[in-house]
Amino acid sequence: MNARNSVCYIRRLFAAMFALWISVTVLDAQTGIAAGPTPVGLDQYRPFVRGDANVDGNVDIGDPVRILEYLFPTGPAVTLATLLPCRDAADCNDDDTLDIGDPIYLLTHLFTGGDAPPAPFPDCGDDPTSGLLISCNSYPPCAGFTDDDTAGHVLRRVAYGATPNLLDQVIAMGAEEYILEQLDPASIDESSNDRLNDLMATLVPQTSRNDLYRMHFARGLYSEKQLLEQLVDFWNNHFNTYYWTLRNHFWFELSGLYNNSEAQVQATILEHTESETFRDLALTTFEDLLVASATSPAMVIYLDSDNNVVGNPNENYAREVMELHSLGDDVVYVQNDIIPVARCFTGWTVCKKAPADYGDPHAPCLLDTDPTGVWSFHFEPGDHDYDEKVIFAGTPHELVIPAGDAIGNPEGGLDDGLAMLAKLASMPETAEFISGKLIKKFVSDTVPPALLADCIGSWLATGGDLHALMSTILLSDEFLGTANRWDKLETPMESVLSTVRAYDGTTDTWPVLGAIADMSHLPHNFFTPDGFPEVDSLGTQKLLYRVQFNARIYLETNPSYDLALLLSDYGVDLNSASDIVDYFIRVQYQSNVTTIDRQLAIDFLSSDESGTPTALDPMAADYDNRLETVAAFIASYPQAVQQ
Amino acid sequence: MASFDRRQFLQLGAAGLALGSSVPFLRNPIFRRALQAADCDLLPAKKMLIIWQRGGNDGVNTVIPYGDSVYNDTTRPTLFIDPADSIDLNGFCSLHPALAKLHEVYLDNQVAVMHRVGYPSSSLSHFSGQKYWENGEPGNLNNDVGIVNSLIGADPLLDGHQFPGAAVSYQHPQLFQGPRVLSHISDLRDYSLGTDPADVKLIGALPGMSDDGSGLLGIYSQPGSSQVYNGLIKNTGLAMTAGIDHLTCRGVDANSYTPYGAATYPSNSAPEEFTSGTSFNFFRQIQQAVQLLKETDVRVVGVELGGWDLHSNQGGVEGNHATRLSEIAHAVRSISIDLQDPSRNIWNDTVVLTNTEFGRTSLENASEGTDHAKSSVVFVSGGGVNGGTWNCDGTTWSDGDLTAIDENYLPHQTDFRAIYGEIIGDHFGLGASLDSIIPNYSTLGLTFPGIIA
Repeated sequence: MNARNSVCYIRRLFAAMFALWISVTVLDAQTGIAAGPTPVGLDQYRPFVRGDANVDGNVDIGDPVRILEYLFPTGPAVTLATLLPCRDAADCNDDDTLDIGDPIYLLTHLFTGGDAPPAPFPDCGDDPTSGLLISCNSYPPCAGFTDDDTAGHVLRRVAYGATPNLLDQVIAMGAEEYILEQLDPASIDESSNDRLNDLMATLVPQTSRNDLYRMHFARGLYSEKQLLEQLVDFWNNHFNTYYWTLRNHFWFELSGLYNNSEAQVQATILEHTESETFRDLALTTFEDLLVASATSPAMVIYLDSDNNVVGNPNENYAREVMELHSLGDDVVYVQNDIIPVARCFTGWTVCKKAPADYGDPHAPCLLDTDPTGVWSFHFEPGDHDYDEKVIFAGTPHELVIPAGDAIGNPEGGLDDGLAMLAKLASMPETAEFISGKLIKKFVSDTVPPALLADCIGSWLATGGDLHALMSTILLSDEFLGTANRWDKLETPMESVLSTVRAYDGTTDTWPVLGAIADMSHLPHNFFTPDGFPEVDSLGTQKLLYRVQFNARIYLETNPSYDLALLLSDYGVDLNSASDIVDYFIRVQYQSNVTTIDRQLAIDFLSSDESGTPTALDPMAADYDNRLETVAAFIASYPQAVQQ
Repeated sequence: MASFDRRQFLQLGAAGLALGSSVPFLRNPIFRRALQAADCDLLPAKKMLIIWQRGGNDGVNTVIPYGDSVYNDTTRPTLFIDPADSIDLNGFCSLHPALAKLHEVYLDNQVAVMHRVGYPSSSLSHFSGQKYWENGEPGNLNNDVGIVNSLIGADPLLDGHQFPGAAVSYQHPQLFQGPRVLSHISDLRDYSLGTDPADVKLIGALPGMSDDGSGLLGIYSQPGSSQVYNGLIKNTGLAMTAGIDHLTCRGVDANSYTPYGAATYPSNSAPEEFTSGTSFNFFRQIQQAVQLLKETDVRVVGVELGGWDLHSNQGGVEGNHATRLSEIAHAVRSISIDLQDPSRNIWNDTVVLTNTEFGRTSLENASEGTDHAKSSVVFVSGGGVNGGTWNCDGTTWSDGDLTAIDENYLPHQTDFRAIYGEIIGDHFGLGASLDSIIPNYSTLGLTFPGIIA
């Protein structure tokens, strides 16, 4: 269609539309039926370009034509999904309804110089004003496009929050590509990550308790393997062992072998070893993790497996391995299953072994006092119960572990517990419980049933492969779509780390450790075996500690921030309070703040320390302090605790 | 960072006021506190302090039913405590010797020792058990509203009050959570806002008639968005600043508190007889809870003590369990003394209640410990409490009751909700609201045990 023809066509179109407009209005008045524009129901939301109703990647005359075909059908019935696969794109004037106003708006823009369609236009993006009333089921031209909102969402969940650089990087490479990279941490080369490597070189996490905590924070802040660090935190907490129970074990229960500080070193070694094992196995299979936990000296001591012997089974591990680690509370198992399960694990204990024998259940034990030995998992055949065990008796899950495997064949005895773990790892109830817990961590506190079903399917098809499971979760519509954004609370660690990352702070992690300790949320420090709840109770003092940590931006030099340099690097006008505020709220909230939130920040930055309005001046003595206080202010918004 | 100190700032403020300060300055929270300070009399009120024993306390070795023949050195080889070594109550039951200090309060008829407290179909899970004790609705894991939260919500005197309840604990207990955000204080010494000018600017001011306020108060006082948690976070921020206003108004200073009389709150650095490491700062939190009871309007405070989940190495007359019990006993005795401070004697108006999610197996396990079981012991103390021993005597206790369920568990005799019910009804005078505080209370057919005088 050439220009001349199109003008003629437009005139005819306008005339026809006007006639229809009148007739529809008259008809409504006559019938009394509240016709009016039809609100469009809830559905999918995805990036699109407003005005491109026929989803061909161009905003042109074909678009108002397509909308009119929908509004005034003449031929056989065609489904809405076929005509307008992205209804939001057809809502040209962004009033959340599809009516005659939309083609008129677009035609006015295209041919008479009227206003351009509201955002997103002309580039791909999410609808900044709606998302509720009108949806976009399909918009192929923006496939692969990642907008601010999606990138920020992914970084709040998969990572410990956006950094200025990472936000742009995820937008450039695409959210799905970033997730795929994160799912393959071995592909991420950190040999030149000096910030991380230099900091890690100062730490001795193997033997220093504080350095163990700081290792988690250093990696969370600066490692590029962000998903891996989130998963390490998750599995450490899922298979929770309490540091101070281990310390007490070494201090009080070994006949004076260790004093307090020596006992802390031993406890640190166990927690560090366990955590690094979870890190190695975080994306392998659930059974691998379950076995690693069950044979971890930290777990063996924490849940009393070392006291679980033939004739006198200890219930502690048997109950928790089902309730907390695999099946869930009161799922499948009953009280009468606890003892037979405990009997499977009799003889599982710890002793000191030569370092070369570490982890070998049958290697000989050294004396507790042998300074060359390390505390290791050990299977003690003489303490194992070799009688038959029947678990989940009378249910479809019934597991019979036959008697036998004489004491002379220790492998047989050890196999009882391993068979029990394999059974638990293979059960659909475990698939449901673990998938649900991971969905709650990454997607939503309310588990979407369809996603849960997909996860269980993946689990059963792959034997509990965690890479497949995490791919299912993180590449799902439920995660990548807009339905589950901002609807979870950040943990204290996520909240504190994300502030430092958002402003590109540099820290030796000591203040991070202080803040997270104040909030009683240190890794390895939850005293009951259930671990920190995923929905952490947000108390008044925890919120206060968050604000106090943010106030360090202007009060202290650690973490250190160079905000003026950061703003310059990203081309932000240092004279403009609104540009600075917009930049900060974009990195942290992708601009999802109210007009009042934004204006209060601009007012804040445009006033001196006593609150008196005074223009922002990069040459003034208070300039850096103003940037630092407004940074602390914006980092303390309620949304900072959401993710 | 501050270019001038707080005193200068306040002087500037006073000068500004004399000259006719601008409206925004009048709304400054610092100024509002100064206004309140002149009108800051303590409201008379009934109060409660709850001590949560997390992990499941072994009631059998706490209040020892030596009159039951099942209690012996065969069923409890290392845990058994000879009656001669314990503190006799009534010829059937005795207190663990580590409870000697609690016994002093008992002798004043100010402790109700309640054995066999639980609920039907008691859960053996820490998670579920705690949830049920805290939401008052056994069987419903989805009820996230704590009894204390509902109790405070039902009291018309506390409507809109700045500081009606406070958990002094590391984690915010379910017991205190719910629609009304209550204060959660892990360390009262840190519970304040900075007063340097930048801090004051950061906190800002609540909205006025014609503006949106300023700083964080301007942000947090806006209505919650449709996002889950946004409203809760904002309410938490407002409860935090309101609570701090109240503490400032009352001049509460956690760094300069002197207990009354013989009350002591041993610190970790000077642990006296308390040497074990798991009770970090328990006494500091008890002291801060007592200080809040004495110096503020707070009605309900809660403190937690972990370390009860003694599957192994529990100990008898001495050991881990004895240490935990001695901490409880020391705390109750110090609380009872401190609350009789003549300058603020509220002992007669206060109930101190201990809770735990379940008891432990009557039979010792192979690890010299005990496993999860059913009913356990509750202590209720206070100047207005009927002292005595409940559910542990030859009349109500049949021989062998210790193992009446599954040959290992002690059944419950008193439902914990009846204890809460009596405290809510006869102590707080909120009996008419019982069903809104403890779900379905009136349908449970419970009777008050008679612990409130």
